[in-house]
Amino acid sequence: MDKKLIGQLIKSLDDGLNQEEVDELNSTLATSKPAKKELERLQDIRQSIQSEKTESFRPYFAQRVMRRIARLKEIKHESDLFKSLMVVFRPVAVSTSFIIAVILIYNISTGNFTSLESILGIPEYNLENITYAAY
Amino acid sequence: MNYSELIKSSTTGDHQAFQKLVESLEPLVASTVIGMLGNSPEAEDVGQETFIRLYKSLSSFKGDSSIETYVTRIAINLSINELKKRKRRSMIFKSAETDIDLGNLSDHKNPQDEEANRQLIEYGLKKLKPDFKAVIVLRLINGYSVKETSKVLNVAEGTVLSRLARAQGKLRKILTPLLGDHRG
Repeated sequence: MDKKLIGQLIKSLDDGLNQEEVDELNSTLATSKPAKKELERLQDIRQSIQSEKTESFRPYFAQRVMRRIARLKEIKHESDLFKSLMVVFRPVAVSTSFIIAVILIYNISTGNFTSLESILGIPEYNLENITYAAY
Repeated sequence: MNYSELIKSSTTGDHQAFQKLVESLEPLVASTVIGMLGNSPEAEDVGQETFIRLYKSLSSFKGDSSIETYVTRIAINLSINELKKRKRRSMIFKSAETDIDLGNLSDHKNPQDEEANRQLIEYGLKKLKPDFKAVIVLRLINGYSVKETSKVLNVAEGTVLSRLARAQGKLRKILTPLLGDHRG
C-alpha cells in the first residue's frame, strides 16, 4: 500500500491532519476497500495497545514506598550525626596535627632524635616502668 | 482530601498524607512504568524510585503543572534511563534478554487468545526506541492528549505527532504479519 496513505491514516488517528487532508483521506476511504481495511488494522493495533494498561504494582506498594522513605530518613539522620561530629573534631584534629609537626621539626632541628619517642617528645616507657608504677 | 491538600500536608511531614498521595497516583505511575518496561521487577523498582523522587522534590513543587504531569514526567525519565541501562547491559553481556518466543505464539489456534495478543504487543513495544515508546505509552496507554504528552515530554506538539506516526508505522510493520497469523 502507498506509504503516504498509510502515514495519513496513522496521523488521522491522532488528529494530525488539516481539514484539506481529512477531506482527501475521507474520499479515498469511501472508494478504496484496502485503505478501509488498513485503517481497521491500525485501529485494532491501537486498541490492543490500549488494553495493555496495568494500573497497579504488587499489593502493598504504597507501604513499601513508605518503608524505603523511612530508611532514607534513618540514613540521613546517621549522616547528619557524622557531619556534626566532623564539625566538632576537625579543628581538634587539625590543631593536634599542627602541634605534632611543630614538636617533630623542633626536635629534629635540635638533633634530639635518638628514638621516635624522643623525636615526638613522648616519655619513654617500657613494661618494667609500668609495673613499678603500679606498686 | 484533594491533591493540593495532600501535597501541603506531605510537605509538613505528614506521612499518612504522602502515603495517600502514593495510593492515588499509583495507577498512573504503574501504567506508565509497566507500559515502558513491561511487567518486571525493575518496573516496581522504578515505580518506587519515582515516588521517592517525588517525596524529595515535593517542597520545590510549585504547581506550574499538575501533580499528575509532574509525576508522569519523573516516571518516564526514570523508565528511559532504565531502558538505556538495559541496552548497555545486553550489549556488554550479550544476555538473552528474554525475547518472546514467536514460534510458540504462532502455534496458538485461538484468535481471541488474550495472552498471545498481550505478548505480541509487548514484543512490538519492546522493539521501539525509548523516545517512541514514551509517546505510545503516554498517548495510547495513559490516554493523554497530544498537548499533554508534549508537556510531559517537554517537546513540541509536532514532535509528538511525528514520533507517534513513526512509532505506529513501525508497530504496524512488526505486528501486521504476526497479527495476521492470529486473526486469520
